Amino acid sequence: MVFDVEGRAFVADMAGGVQAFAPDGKRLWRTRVAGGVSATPAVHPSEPRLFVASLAGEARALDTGTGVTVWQRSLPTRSDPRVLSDLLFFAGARAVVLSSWGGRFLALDAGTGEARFTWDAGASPGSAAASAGSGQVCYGLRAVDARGVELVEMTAAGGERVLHTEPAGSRGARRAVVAAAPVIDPARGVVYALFNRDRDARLLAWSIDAGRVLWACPLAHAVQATPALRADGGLLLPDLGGGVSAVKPDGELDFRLDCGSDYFLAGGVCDGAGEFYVGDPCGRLQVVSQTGAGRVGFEAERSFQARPSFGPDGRLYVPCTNRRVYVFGNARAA
Amino acid sequence: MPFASLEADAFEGYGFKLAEFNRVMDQRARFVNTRNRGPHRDYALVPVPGGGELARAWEVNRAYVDTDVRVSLTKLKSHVSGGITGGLKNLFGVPPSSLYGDDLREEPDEAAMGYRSNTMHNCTHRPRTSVNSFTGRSVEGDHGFNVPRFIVDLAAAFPLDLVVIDAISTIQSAEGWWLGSMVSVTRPGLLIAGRNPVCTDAVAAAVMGFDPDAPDRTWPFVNGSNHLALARRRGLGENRLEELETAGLSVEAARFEFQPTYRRLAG
Repeated sequence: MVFDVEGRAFVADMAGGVQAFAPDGKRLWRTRVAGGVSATPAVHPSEPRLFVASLAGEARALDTGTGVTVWQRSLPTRSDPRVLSDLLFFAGARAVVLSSWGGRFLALDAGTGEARFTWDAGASPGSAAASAGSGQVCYGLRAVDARGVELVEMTAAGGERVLHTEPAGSRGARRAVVAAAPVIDPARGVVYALFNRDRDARLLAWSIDAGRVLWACPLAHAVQATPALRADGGLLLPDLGGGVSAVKPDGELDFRLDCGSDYFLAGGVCDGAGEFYVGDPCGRLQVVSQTGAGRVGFEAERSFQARPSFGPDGRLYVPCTNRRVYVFGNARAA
Repeated sequence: MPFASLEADAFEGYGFKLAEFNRVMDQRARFVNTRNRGPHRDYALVPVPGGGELARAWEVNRAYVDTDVRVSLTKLKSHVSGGITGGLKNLFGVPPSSLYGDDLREEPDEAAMGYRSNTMHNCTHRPRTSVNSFTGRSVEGDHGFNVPRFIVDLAAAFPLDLVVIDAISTIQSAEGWWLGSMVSVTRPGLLIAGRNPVCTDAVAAAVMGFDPDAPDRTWPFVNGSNHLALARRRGLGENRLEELETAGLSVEAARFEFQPTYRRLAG
């Protein structure tokens, strides 16, 4: 789910439905795009625009007030145009950045949908790009045959620079799971990137100012979900082994909590007090404290496969595959 | 390779918990690896009623004919060539590697364990069966043409009495781990069962969010023919949802959309 400054909540689903809700839960509008939607949409920070892209390779800007289509583009590709990566509003370029299985990151002009730039996105890209504030760069990951998995800096002028290359595992770069987006900690000037190998992973910290790798932390399990940044700079990583790891800002593994889940597909979210919330495939909202204590905060009858998020009103929104969004006014009581 | 063994431990390699299974089944279950002739003196030659489109007959382990009842127990998942895997596509494992496997040379080989890419996907090689069992009407290299038709020729030769589709925890976009990051896991939390494989698979396709009567070369059958529609036209069952009756959860209540399989790049 994503929100605009007026507190409206927007949700897109695998049936291709896109809906807007008022803070009181009243549905404001509903529309449909071609193909289901796996990628989390993006909202323009100052204009009434919601950006959505689908498994059919259709990108749209919708009016947040009415749901009316402002522009629509079919993504160019020779193969499968599906968009799995979450969308990014790249403020520095006034563009929405996404990647499709066509193998390119695309920066579409936020006002018109015209493709401003494209960058190589590697094999079957599923990882979103990330940027911070009004910065002039964004960061992405891509798997490139014979090279490995690369952390790339992409500029608002269309340039790119490879910051780090991680050798692929024994199955090759094409088989690497590249799904988690980079995470930026603007306060510490660090970009975090996840590199999965055959079964395990490495979390790498890249110093933006120093232009070098600060540290790399080995993780026991591969990670598909984008990590969550805690207020103290710690990172929370739900993994494909069904646990949640916490890594301190200096790269030390703080804890790994086995949550009893088969795996985690989607990321979680931290509240201001450092409590971490993540949904699991068995329909449990797992809550992990700052010290690594876990509990099940809520159970639904079907799986959670999307990231929870806090709305501007401080409430926790948890989309579920049972077609409901659970909203918790006081998340800590969940 | 976990299925090298001809004994029950071959199944453990795939994660089957045999002790639990046997306990539930009151120790009456027997596991047979049908990748070759097994303990039998010869194979069974099973004709395809009506002649078949790509296969006139199948030469298989006798376990498939020395039985009163056939049950197809399968995962529900996406499949690049077949669109979806259900009770019908599950039959692709019936032809033994010893006669149809990719690792065969000129002769049958009881030690073979290969898949069936060359014989039943690309159709560049003929199986090493005792008679010429294929019609030769396959299209070389066109998985989307060949695989759906072989599925139907298998379904015609091996009628199923029960289909049980495990959609509890599975994969989407493609059929196996070997497709790397093009596959992702998903958890619908469902079991689907029925007496007719075409009807059951059609309901399963609808639960996945697809039209089970979708035209060829459209999702979910984006790389080829709709084998459910082919099976209906062969008189094997019904794939049009409006003609089907379901019990338990409604299709709408059960619906759990899958990411469709990817469009294969031409050439």
